[in-house]
Amino acid sequence: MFSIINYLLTNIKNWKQALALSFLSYFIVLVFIIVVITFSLQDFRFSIIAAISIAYMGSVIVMLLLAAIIFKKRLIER
Amino acid sequence: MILRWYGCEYIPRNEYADMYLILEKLSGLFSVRCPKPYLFDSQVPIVFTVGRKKRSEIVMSYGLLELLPENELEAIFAREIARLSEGIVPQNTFVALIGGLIASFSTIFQWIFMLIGSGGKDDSALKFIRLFAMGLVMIPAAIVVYVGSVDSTISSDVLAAKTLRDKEILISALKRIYYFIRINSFEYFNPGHVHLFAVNPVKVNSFYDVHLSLFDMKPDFSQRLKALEGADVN
Repeated sequence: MFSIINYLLTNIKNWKQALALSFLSYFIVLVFIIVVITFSLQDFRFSIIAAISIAYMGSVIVMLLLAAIIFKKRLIER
Repeated sequence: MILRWYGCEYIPRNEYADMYLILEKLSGLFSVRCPKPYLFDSQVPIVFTVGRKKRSEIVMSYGLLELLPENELEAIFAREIARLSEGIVPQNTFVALIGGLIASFSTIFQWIFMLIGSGGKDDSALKFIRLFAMGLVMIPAAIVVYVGSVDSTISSDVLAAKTLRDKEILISALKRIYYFIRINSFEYFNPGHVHLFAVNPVKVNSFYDVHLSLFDMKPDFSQRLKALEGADVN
């Protein structure tokens, strides 16, 4: 497992690692949003959670794709 | 606001009379209003220009004044004033304000957790919290900087070299700053301001800074040197 992590850290470019970590950060926020909604509704309503998750992750993925296109053009590849 | 971010102090004329003479001479050459000089406390050689249409400020660190001899300092100032003459400083200043504000949320997040007792600056938990916060804000900040700013790095370099009729001094100054930053600089600079700096000081020093790689903007330093060496200054 450590060899896989080492491979990922050394062979993937820094900006791609940054994008992956950003995706993880936004995912953690989504988990937090789901917890808050579930506690406030005092029930796990799948349809509402699914709709929010799809909208949220959809916009995050669009933003990351846009960012990836911009960075591929404008970043120095080290 | 950007001046406040760096804790800049206005440079009085009587203390740095030579610098004022250089700036006034260069402003005359480029036919622009002379920018007001400001200094801030950092050992990293940094210089940038901010301002609006009718007023501009040239900001430099103590490290820049200590590193460069007078002729190279003049060349670097010429480069900054060349940026002023291109008329892009107000737009880049506005973008730095917005991008810098977005990027600063990661630092603010870190301070909040430090204040509520999450350990010292080097605490691993705090570093992970900062990494998480950077993951949220650095991509929007980078998009604002890339989309909003005007990149005039090479054109400013070449214009400065042509106006001074000497490219070797500018090349020497840029190399000196670049290699100093690469080897000696571990200071954190707001990545939302990266398009303002003469030489980009933002770099990845550890895994926790990996998001700063999103601000490693083109052109590459070797491209700048190539453009300068190919410029006809006669």
